[in-house]
Amino acid sequence: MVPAQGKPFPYLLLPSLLASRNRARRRERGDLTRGLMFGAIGVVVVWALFQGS
Amino acid sequence: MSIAIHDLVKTYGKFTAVDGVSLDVKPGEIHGFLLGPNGAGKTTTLRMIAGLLKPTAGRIEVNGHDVAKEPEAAKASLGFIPDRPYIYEKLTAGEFLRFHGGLFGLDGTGIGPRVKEMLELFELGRWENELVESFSHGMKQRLVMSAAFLHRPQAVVVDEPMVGLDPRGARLIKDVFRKMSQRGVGILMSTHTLEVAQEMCDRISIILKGKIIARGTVADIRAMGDSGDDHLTSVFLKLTGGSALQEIDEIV
Repeated sequence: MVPAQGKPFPYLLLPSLLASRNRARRRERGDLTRGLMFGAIGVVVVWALFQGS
Repeated sequence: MSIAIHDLVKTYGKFTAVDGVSLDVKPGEIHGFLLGPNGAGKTTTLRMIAGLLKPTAGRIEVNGHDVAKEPEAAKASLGFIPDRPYIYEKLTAGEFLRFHGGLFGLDGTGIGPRVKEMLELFELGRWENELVESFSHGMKQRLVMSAAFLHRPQAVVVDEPMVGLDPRGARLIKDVFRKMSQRGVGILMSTHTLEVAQEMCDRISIILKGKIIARGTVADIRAMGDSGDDHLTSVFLKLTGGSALQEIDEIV
């Protein structure tokens, strides 16, 4: 039996999901630049991980 | 009793923040929790009632539920309004309230009208679909209050409700609190503002250095002043004044 405070409670993820959706719906200046920059970082990280494995 | 506290103690190492506080709030009562200088133990006491802090000793009951033994039942019947509104900034007011209602088990069919009702009550109806990040401090404060009353609690704990509110907002909150108390909700309200306590509270407790130093109706507290002054300020300063004057001395 999992103790009460140890039970997963995924409902608490809902605000993050809604926030992401709201953020995506409301475009702001610089979104493209930010997307490209963090996308590039992601690609580099994935590449580094595969190189190291 | 809506809220009953028995010999509550909270220590942090050698420092005693709350030192044997006992008080009760009856259904339909607005009980003011007045403060001495900062660090008097107010926020610690309110957080223990809300179940956010564990007492070192003592017992807290909310609507007959022991906060330590039946935390879910106690919290389900309590509304807590902190002094600073922490809200998800990227949610709309409606989304925030629906999420909050979900935490208290309000289902999808009943929650929509209730959210609208609360937003209208706190004059936020036309902001339902706006992101919280665009709200002023006062609007955020009103949104937190609407969330606290959303699940129809029978006891409410409020920490400094008037901070950052304009006169119209303050009037609105006073009216809502009065209406809720008439419906039998017991309200424990901390405040620094003596005028607010004087105008709204049925009973007042004054806390200083973690201890309750005076309690009674506004008339009882006034009588402790024996200065003939009709205002609570002089009584409050008389009861807590040593420390307050010492603070001024230290600053000057």
